[in-house]
Parts: sequence; structure tokens; C-alpha cells
Amino acid sequence: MLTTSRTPARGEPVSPGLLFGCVFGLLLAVTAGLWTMWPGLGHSMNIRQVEPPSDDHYLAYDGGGNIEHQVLYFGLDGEAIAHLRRADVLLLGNSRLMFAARPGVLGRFFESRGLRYYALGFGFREADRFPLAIIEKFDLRPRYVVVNADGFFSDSLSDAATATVSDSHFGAWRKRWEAEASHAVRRVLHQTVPNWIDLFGRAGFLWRREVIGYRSRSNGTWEVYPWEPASLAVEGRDMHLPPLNIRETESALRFHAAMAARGAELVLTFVPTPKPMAGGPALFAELLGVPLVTSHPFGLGSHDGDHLDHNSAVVWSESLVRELGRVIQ
Amino acid sequence: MNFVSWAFAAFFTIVFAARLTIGRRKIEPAFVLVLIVSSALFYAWHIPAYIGILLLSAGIDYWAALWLERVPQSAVGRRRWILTISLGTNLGLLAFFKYSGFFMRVLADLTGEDAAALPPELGMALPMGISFYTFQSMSYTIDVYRGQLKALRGFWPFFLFISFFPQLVAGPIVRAVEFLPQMPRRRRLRACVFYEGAWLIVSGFFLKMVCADNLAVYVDEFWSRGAAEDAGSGFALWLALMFSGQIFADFAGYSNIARGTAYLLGYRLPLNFNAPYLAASFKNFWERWHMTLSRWLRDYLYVPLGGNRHGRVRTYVNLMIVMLLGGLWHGAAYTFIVWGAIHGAALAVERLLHLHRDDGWGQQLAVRVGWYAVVQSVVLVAWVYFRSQSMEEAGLILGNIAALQDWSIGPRETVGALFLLPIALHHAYVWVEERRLLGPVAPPTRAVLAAGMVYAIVTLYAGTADFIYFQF
Repeated sequence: MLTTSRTPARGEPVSPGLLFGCVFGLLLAVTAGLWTMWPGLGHSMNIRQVEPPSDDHYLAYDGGGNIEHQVLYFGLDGEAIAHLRRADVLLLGNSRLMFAARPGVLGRFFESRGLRYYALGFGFREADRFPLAIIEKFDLRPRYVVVNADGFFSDSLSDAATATVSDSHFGAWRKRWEAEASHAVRRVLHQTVPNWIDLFGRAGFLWRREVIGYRSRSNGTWEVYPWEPASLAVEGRDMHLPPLNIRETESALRFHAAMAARGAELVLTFVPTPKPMAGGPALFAELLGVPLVTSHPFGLGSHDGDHLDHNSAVVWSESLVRELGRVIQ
Repeated sequence: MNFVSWAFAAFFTIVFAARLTIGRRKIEPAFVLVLIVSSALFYAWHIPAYIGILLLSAGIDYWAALWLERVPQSAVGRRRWILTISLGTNLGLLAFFKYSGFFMRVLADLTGEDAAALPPELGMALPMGISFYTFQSMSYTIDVYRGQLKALRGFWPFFLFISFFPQLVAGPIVRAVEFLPQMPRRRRLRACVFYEGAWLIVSGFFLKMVCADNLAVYVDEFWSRGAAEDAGSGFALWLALMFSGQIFADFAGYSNIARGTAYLLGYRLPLNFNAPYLAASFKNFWERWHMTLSRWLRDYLYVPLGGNRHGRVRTYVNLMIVMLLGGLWHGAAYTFIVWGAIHGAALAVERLLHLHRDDGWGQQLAVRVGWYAVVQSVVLVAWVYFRSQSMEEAGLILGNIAALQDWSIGPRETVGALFLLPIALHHAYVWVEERRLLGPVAPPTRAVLAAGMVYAIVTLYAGTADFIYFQF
């Protein structure tokens, strides 16, 4: 075991180990005490209070990083993949679609038509190549593919997707295990002491606090925390702007052909955002000869300057299904 | 395996328990076996199949060294062939995994083809730490070739030298002559050794989880905005400084954890960073930054190229070649090559001006201060290339700084810069210590500082990002 060269004599400086323990213990105790008693400090750390909304949800991402790319690409969650395989309708797009696609509204609509849907969108500005890779990998045969055309047709992979496709099944499993272990340990740790940055928020950032996202196994939709009320109005857009470039055009044509080969009908939509729009949905629809279902209900708002807030997402989902009703039988 | 993971915490707890029980003298065969198996497991935790690449590299070099010893010194041609096989295997592995995509892009550029139309990437992940362990393995064969080292008889001790997990994936790059003599040496784990190792580990985790990861949040979020037309000089300069702090804290943090864990297991690894932003010359910068790589490049590239023994011009050319290859070692991208070229040119100019030595006109205070400012400015410029995704992005960021307009920065930038403070304090302390104005930090003070750092890790961490040097 650990040996010391000699026994410390009386009056000698205290052992560094003991000193470390005392100081660290004191710091923790003072912090825990302050956090408990000082009313101004607040306790709203997501990691300590957020739980998955149901057993149907798994951890998709938190401050430690994103794992949903691995889960879906490598099929780490058998139940999620089974639902994905059975889906008649796939919803594809970036995080704007994933915020906007509300399961309550979508579920009622598709159930009434005897269809199963799955939201296969991703965050991190994910575009067409990654969902297409999943569709091909699991040989998915949906009847309809609804795409949020906002920046989707760009023939690109996000950094998260690039890391995922070059990873191994074991690597993906490992990453998920580490993320979930870290999530669990942090949840326990922050019952006692806070993470100061997360408690007060990182000034000047879109996401001031840690974002925790869970993903539904049965329909792929997100539940995200925190999801605060709207602080910014989302204006309407001219769907014909901006002009398409060659890369986008070729990417859209290729994607359309890939879906047609699988017997899927492509439908385009556009989720409103305060951010600059990438790619004109109407031009894509004209180019591909596919329907564009889009509407901009009055009073949509955003909580973070990028995505719709919860109420707006519900309103938008309702308007989407109204429009979709004309296209999907 | 990433040091900043719960998997590593559990893994190291088990290995350290073995050190405390079956490895009290460090040389017990059972403990050596634990180190070999745990090192293999540590590596396989990334991609299990890649353990084969590590075994291939180690196997070829082990075999080459044994063969070299059997061939007499007079058979120069045969010895060169054996060395070529060893170096060719290692460099071939590096070229295949790391540079094949880059060379295809270069070829496309030269032939005027559309690089985007090239076949997609091979879809293979870079074997973690390949740049580090191939260099370490090559140094062994070269040392045996030069007659500076006896070849090891057993494969597994050699494999432990190559794969010893604390330094496997991001260094320090240990030379065989430093590591191999430690293997048969008894090392009991005394309290002072434990405290030293624990101090290194804690300071490493602090640098990584509190400084580097928090700085990374700002750098990753805003780097591309630094290239925007309206970014302003203050903002662009702030970004460059934030990245220079991030990369130091990230890499020095890793090195500290590596040295600390190795020390607890009975091995000393060489110092890799020594307050590099104190360097008053480019030569001194490379004596303080990634010291084990600088040393490797000097001993196995610069000196064999002729070093400074063949006149001025040849020396400058050699410096340029070494630094260009040093840049390329970091990654297959034009930006890394430019980073290396800047340092190579800077070293050559410094030598031309006789400012690399502490004598002559370089001793005057004004010159020293002025040259210090030049050195650190050039280092900063080089970091902008190192971090940027493209030459164009780097040019725009540097252009914004050079525009010398709008130096205002907001509260966000000020708060972010607070994470540079521990790095600045560390450098300040080293500066004072080097001038013997203060002695080394006493153990009780270290204990209090360590408690503060662990507290900061628990309450100020910023997610877990991979170490920057994992990608190399």
C-alpha cells in the first residue's frame, strides 16, 4: 500500500492529503449551505430536475454532447429502429423541424389516416446526407417523406454526423454508455452543489443554460428543456428566395430520385424561423415537381432567435397537418 | 479512452488498485501484465480492431531492432534496408490513414478537378494517437540502428513501451532510452510520489475541464464570426487569444494527466510544456511547447538533415523542412502546413538576426522585450491558421485584426476571457520561479490549490470535449 518514509512528528505541518480533504470539504459544505439557504441563488439547473417525459424517451443530448446520431445510425435502440422501420411517413429536417414537430398534433392526424410517422430530423444543422444514409442502411420504405427544405438539400454532413459515420458500432455504444453514465452522475452531484455557469447562464449565448433533449422511441420527436416562452416574433418569408445554386439543385434532384426509387412521395415544407432562410422551398418544389405544404400562422414566436417556442410549434404543427391533409390520403 | 470520462475513472481505479496490491515494487510480472493488458484495453476502447495496427507497428519495429543487432555494423546496405522497412511501415500507416484524403485533394487542386467530386472519404476513423506511437516506435528502431540502444529480447516489454496507456494517444513522446531503463527499476509508491502524481492529475483535469473546455465553448461558437466583415479587430484578436489559451490548456492538461497517472504507476514521463507563452525567442518557444515533439524532430530529422553543420543557407532550409513536416504531422491540411511554414520561417529569420542566443545585441532589454512581442504575435498569427477551417477563413480573421478598427469588446468577451486567467497566473508564477524570486509551491499550498481546483472542476466544468490532439 501507500507508504510514507517516516511518521510525522508533533508540530509538523499537517499532511497535504488531510489539508486537501478539509479545504475541499469546506468549500463543498459552504457551497451546499449557500445554495440551500440563499434564496437569490435559485435552483433551476436542468440536470437536477429534468426527467425523461416517459419511458418512451431516451437521452438524445445534454451538456456532454449529442448521442442521437449514434443511437439511430447504429441502431443502438432496437425499439426506436423497429418504429422507424414501420413508419409510413418520415419527417426530415434540421433542429427547426424537430422543435416544430409536436407529437400530440401529428399523432392525431396520422392515426386518423391509419399512418405511422417518425421524425427523423437532427440538430447541428444536419442536412440530407445523414438521414439518407439511415434510410439506406435500414432499407426504409416510407410512403411519404416530408422535408423541411430550409438548408436541407446541401449534400453535406454535420460534424456530429461525420464523427458518427466514421465511428464503429462499439464506439457508438461506448459513447452512449459514457454519456448516460455522466448524465446520471451529474444528476446526483448537482443535487448538492451547482455548476455555477449553468445556474447563472452563459452570457451572450443562444443557449444560456444546459440543454437536455430526449427523443421518443415511437415517433422520433424531441422533448427539449429548457423550452422557454417566445421572446421574438417570427416574420413571414418569401418562399421563392433565395436562388438555388448548382450544389443544392443537384443534391435535391439526387435526393428526390433516391426517394422515388424507394416508392416514397416527397413533400416539402418550411418551418418559420427568425434566422436567414437557406434555400427557397418554392423553387425546390418547382424544380422537383413535388407539393409544397407551408403556411405561416399569425403570431408565431421564437424563444431563442432560431426555433419556434412551444406554443408556436403546436400552432405550426396544426397548420402543417391541415395542409398535409390535402396531399396525404 | 478519453481521460475525461467515467470509463477512465473506473479503469484507472482498477489499475491503481493493482499498483497498490500486486505491483508494490512496480516490477512484479503480474503488475507488468496488468499494465500491458490495460494499455491494450485503453486503446481498444476507441476502436477494438485498431489494436491490430498498434501491434503491427510495434511488431515490425521489434523485429527490425532484433534483426539490426544481428547484422554487423559493416553491412551498411542491409542495415539500411531493415531500417527502411521499419520506417516505411510506420510512415506508410501514417500516410494511409492520415494523408490519403489530403493528397487526393491536392492532386485535384493541381489537375484542376473539382475536389467535391472526388470519391467520398474512406469512412475510416483515424486510429487514435497514431502520430504519437509511430514516432515513438520509430525512435526505438533508429536508436538501435545508431547503436545507441540494445534491442529488447522480449516483445511484451517493448509493447508496453509503445502502448503504455498514459502517453499512448497524445504523448508525451517518450524515447526508448528514457523509458526502457525504468522498466526493471523498483519504485515503491511513497506518499510524496502519490501527492506529486495526484497534483499533476488534478492540475491537468483543471486545465482541461475548466480552462480548455470553457474556452472551447466560446471559440467553437464564435470562430467563424471572427471572419465576418464587421467582426472588428478587438473581437478577432479576442478569438485568437482565446484559442491560444484553449490549445495550451487542452494539450498541457492532457500531458499533466498523462505524467501524473504514469507517475502513480511507477514511471516518469518527460515534461511536455513549460509556460510557452513566456518564450522570448522562437527557439525558446519550441523548448517550451510540445517539448517532446520538438526534441524528436531535432534528434531524428533536423540533425540527420545536417542541422546547422553545413552553413547558413542549409541551416535555414533544414529549419524550414523540419517545421513544414512538423505542421504536416499535426494534420493533412494547408492550414497546418502554413502554421509550420510560419514557425520555420520565423526560426530562420531569428537565426539570421542572431536573436536565438542570449548574447550579443539580443541581450539589450529593449531588443529582448521587442522580440518577445514579435515572437508571441507571430505565434498568435500561426494559431489562427492552426484553428481555421480554411486559408480564406484565417486570412479574413487576421485581416480583421490588422484593420485596427473597432477594439470594443462586450461583457460576453470579458466573461469568456476570465478562463484565460488561470493560464496567465500559471505563466506569471513560472516567470517568477525561473528568476528565483519564489521557490516551488510548498506541499501544503499545493494541497489547498488542488482542493480549489477540484472544486472548480465540480462547479465550473463545461461539458466534455475531446482533447484537440486526439485528432492528430
